[in-house]
Amino acid sequence: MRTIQSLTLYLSFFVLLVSAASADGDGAFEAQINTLKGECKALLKDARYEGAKITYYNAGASKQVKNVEVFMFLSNEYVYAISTKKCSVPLTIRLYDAAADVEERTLIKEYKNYQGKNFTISSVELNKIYRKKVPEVERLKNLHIEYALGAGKTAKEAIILVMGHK
Amino acid sequence: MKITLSLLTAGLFLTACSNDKTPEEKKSVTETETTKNDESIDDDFVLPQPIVLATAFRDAGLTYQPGKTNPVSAKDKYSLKIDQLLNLGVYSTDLAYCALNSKSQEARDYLSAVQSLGDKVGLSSVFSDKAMIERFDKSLDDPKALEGMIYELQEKSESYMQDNDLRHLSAVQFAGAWTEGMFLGIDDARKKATLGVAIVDQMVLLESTIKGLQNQPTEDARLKTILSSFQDILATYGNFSSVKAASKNANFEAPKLTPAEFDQLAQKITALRTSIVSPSKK
Repeated sequence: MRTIQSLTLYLSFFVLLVSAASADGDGAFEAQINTLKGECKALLKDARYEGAKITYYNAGASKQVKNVEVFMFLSNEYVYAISTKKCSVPLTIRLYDAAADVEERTLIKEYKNYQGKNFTISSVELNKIYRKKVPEVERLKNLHIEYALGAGKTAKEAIILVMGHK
Repeated sequence: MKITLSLLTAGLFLTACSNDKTPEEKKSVTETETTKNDESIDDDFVLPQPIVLATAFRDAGLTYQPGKTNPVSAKDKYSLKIDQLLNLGVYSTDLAYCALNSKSQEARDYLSAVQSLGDKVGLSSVFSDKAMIERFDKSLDDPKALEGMIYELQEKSESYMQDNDLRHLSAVQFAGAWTEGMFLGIDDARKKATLGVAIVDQMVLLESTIKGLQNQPTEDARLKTILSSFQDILATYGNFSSVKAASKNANFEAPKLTPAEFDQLAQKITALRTSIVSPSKK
């Protein structure tokens, strides 16, 4: 019985060490994400912060798609600050006016190879493009952001989206 | 991280077994198997802040009506955490509604209610920032500054929940905030076309609200009741002929509800709001 207890205690100690090391890794990753979120907030400039979404994913051998839906209830200008600095795989961002299951869906804008940078998108620009494509619509109230992630080295990664309005 | 936690759980479980721990203690160990940065769901969303919803209603013509908000005195009757969270959302909307309508003293009272419930649900560090409260008090005569303070408060709250892996709490809070906004707006929506459009616009949030309520880590009977009320409203709304005839694309022209449909929606929302602010009443 004593041998079993000693063994399990050694095992627990070993696992605690591994876990602590892993937690440190997670802590560093999370600190980087928070820094990037701060950079995105700064990019909003005079726009009022409204919300954020951090999209976590495991990069690897296969392609994957993640979506984030945002709402624009006010007629004010909305600003979206996106950081893909923690994304190493080929990334295409597509902005749609509806979810994938809606028949009347329009691609508003596409950003190819946008991994590894910080940038902003303004609803003023999007509305201009959208009204050309769908003239009967006054303005965008609902936007679907698609992150199409390519294959790459196995890693835990994230894309940060921060939104605000003027 | 998950693997190491599982190993740790296994190791501790073996130790626990050898030390004849109780089943409850074993259970608490296995429940620690969570990670902060699990992969995000494929279809996620950003819910707006209560002040944004209230601003959209104000811009659409909603005016202040005394006595419509949930009385501050009700704040002490919420004993379940789920009710505290829901009413934290209700009071957040009431706070924004008063501030946007230049009812600064009422806004100050609602800030106290928000602080009180915020403390109870574990957000005391957000709402007990003395410097911020002092600035709020100094801004009472300046509606724009007050509005700015509410945005700041909501940003702090959102960041705290995100940083502490409590995003599921914000989904419940939002459910209360959405309900209160719809309740405040729906009666006038039949009289003002612009407000009717704003109500229909905000119905688009219902699906995300339901998803947020479904993603709670614990099963709770009260939550189930609330969730089924939200699902009932969504189903009722989806069956309206005006909604069926309209595009599924939320950017296209909003469905124009008939008076009968508006009445039915108003009835459902009022019943949901009553069940949130007065949890003991059926």
